[in-house]
Amino acid sequence: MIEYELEYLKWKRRQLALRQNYADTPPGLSGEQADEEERLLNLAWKEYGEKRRFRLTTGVKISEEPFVGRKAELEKIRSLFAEGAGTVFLSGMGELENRRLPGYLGEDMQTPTTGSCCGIMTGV
Amino acid sequence: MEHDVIRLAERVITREPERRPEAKWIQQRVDRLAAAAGLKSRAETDRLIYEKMYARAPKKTDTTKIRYWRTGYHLPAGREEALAFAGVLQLDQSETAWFLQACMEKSDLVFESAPEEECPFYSLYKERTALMEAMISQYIESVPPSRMFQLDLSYEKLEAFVRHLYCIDALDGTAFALSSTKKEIVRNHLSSSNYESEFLRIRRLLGEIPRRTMLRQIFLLSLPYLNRRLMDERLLRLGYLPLTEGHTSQRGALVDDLVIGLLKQYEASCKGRDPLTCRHWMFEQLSILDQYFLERKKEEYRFLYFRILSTMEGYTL
Repeated sequence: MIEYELEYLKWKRRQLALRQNYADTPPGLSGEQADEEERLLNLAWKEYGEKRRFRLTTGVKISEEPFVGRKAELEKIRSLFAEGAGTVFLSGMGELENRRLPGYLGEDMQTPTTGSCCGIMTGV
Repeated sequence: MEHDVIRLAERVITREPERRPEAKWIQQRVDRLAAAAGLKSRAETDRLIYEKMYARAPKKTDTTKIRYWRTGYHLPAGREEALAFAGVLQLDQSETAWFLQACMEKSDLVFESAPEEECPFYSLYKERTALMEAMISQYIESVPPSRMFQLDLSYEKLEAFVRHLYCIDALDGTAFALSSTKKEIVRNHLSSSNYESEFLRIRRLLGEIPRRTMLRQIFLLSLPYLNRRLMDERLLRLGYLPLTEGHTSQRGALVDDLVIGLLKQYEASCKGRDPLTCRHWMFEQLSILDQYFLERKKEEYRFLYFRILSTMEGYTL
């Protein structure tokens, strides 16, 4: 599921870099103009971050299939959050379903993930 | 309201020379050869050229094509014949480059396949394909998410749709963009599939790629970050003649003057504006220009149009 607001901001960031690279073309920017554009963009990023702060950013669904094992890892993750870790990084070999693991933490924890073999989770 | 681009188009057409300056240049080289060989008539010179090129005496009408090359009605059919002709005219290295790049509108080198590492042109090929890939990467980076949404294409698979986006951009720069059926065509990704192998060939710089095609390629891939300096630099680095005032295409059109004029207007109208506004301005002007040239049957000036566009599903004009 693509999030257009985020993609738009990323696109704006890339455009800013291109506008600075090609400062002598019509959409090009340099000096104060570029600084101002960067300031506005940073502001937009900040606003976006504020809006998304406590929201699930990707659709992690709890699997209906039975889940066996990984109890120790799940406990470890829970205890890290309990200790106040804002972010926990999961890493491991590919194809071990690392991205699905957060889904089994329970509904009291919202767990956005990214990456193919590592998950980033934010405790709420 | 008359558009500035229409005035530019009219000015360019009015200035079209009766005879290509490049053809006069060839005539001068033929005359130089005749003087060196002590030949009095042009028929004798044509005969000499034919004999040197094909190592046999010409039959009755064989020298006609030499006369056509000399007078600029036609040009040698391919690179091999062109180089043989240049050899007979005893053109030096810079003259041969001019003959290929300006008169024939070809690149300095052609790669039939990707060269091996041992090939002396390997690093040059790598440098040129790297430039092409950089232009394509920049093109992808410049596609706004909203555009993919409008086209009903997946933004996550943007790379896979480059060919289709390119064709849609080319269409946006033609009179088709002003037609009412436009919206039907743009949604079907497969409608540009006829252009797949050709797009890939150009991307890998394989085979003969006419200057006109490369001009279009650079123009579309670079927008909206485009100006005269960048066009010249990229044409040169890819082995082509940079934009040159007064240069005529093989059929005598002043396409370079048109592009130079258009880029000047782009600079004057869009300086400091955001990329999407710049892009919108350019495509609007391009479609107006294309419509103008289409109506006047000046096909040579429709530099974003290529035949495969008319085979795309939904295309009507």
